[in-house]
Amino acid sequence: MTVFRRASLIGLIAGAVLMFGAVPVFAHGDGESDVAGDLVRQAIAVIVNEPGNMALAADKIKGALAAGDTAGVDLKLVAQAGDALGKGDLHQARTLLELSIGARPHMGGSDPRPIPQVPSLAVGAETGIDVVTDGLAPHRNVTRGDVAALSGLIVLGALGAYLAVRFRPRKVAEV
Amino acid sequence: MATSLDTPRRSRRARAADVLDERLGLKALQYPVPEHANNLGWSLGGLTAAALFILIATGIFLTQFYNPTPEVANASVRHIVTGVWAGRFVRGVHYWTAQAMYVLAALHLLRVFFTGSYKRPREANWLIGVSMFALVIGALFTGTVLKWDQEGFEALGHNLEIARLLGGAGFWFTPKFSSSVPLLERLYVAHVAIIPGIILGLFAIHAMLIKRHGISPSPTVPDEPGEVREPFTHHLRRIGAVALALLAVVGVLAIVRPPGVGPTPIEGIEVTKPLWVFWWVFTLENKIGLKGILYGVGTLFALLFAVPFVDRNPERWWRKRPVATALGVLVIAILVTLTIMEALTTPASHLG
Repeated sequence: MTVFRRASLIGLIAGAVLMFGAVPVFAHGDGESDVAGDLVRQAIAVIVNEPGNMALAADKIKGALAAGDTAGVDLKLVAQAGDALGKGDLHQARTLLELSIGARPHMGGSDPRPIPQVPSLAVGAETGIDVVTDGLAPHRNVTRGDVAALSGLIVLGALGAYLAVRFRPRKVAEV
Repeated sequence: MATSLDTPRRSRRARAADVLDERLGLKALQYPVPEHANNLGWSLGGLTAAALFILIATGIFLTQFYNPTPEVANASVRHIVTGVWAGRFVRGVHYWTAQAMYVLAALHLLRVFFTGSYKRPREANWLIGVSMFALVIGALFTGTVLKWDQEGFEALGHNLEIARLLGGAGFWFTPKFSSSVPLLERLYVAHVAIIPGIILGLFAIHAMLIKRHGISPSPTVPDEPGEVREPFTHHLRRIGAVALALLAVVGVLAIVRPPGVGPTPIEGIEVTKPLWVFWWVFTLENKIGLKGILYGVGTLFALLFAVPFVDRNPERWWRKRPVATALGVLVIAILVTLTIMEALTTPASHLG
């Protein structure tokens, strides 16, 4: 057996052992917040980040309704949000959750908080964020400027490739 | 007339080069190196450096508009993308070049490993190279956090947990170390000053040692002492040419596949996946908990640092070093497998 084959075999065996041999350990956090406001924000974040994970969002809403500290949260709206979530209406659930903590509903990805408006200064590992703003999806429309830049880059790439070939070593292998 | 007919008239360009050389010693860069230094495998280190310079240039641009205050950090990234002229393009180039640099550094490391270029007298330069590779990963990590979206914040959360596991050794990453300054701002300083500063310092020593020891011999060139020599400036010239192509590729990617910005972060949930570079560590985390990150990264870098001291085989070509080659392939297989496994799983919650 050649060295290369032996090394490949070892790699394959190691991969198989890793892939099928280990048991997942999901160390779920045991310190869920008892503050309804935090749990409502988390529920909104789950809806925004992972709309398919209804169970986790419902779990956060349930936690908010049962929380010890409910200051600043309209629990009636939270309960309605839970109902909306149960019916699969994520849009309505999110709106109600945002209203329940007095936040402006539906902050779009291109509608972030104006930079000068700083309500409080975060310290340590605090996020400094009151409510979730939608993600800003990558720009997909090709503009006239993009076309010009792409043309320039293609010329640049061709020049680089041409020079790289021209300056290549003559007598030894490339790699 | 003052000009002698015996002295050939030199071109203006040659005279300008002489003026510069007299003051800057530029001709010292023309020292001879073996021709194989100009092939792609031996140019990977130089290309990694070229990527670093692209990152520094684009990074300087981005720092003019990025605000590391947690309340507005995410919004300032959105502003760069939507409100700053060429901001989307420059951010895209920065994003893709960072990943290109990681790939180039990893390929350079593999080339050095499989051609035995770390062997005596180049052990110290291997250690410096591995340290720089670790710093590149650190730069990727801090860059991920800076956009301050859910993914970035969760990355920071993992970092805090690792710091806790490290006890006193992880003090820098704890909020308590400097309670009045947000961690995001300290990571920003790390990203734009501390990490690149150390990389540049190590790069200077790395380059100096390459000059001191010479370009490592190629095991595939049978008559190494008789090999054609070329000036080092030709090596730089080839790197420059390939770097132009690299810049074009990352530029095109920045336009056709620009990075987005995630939702603003909320503490207490774990719903995102990190950048693919970190997937292998996150599979370990899924399997054995947060300690898996510590054990995985620690083991990988302990192995890398140990390479020149463990591999005492005088041969350089990988075919003639079966044990080292098999171990190298094994490590690569593990990393690739763990990465694929993370690609196939959904994010799980680990933070306490």
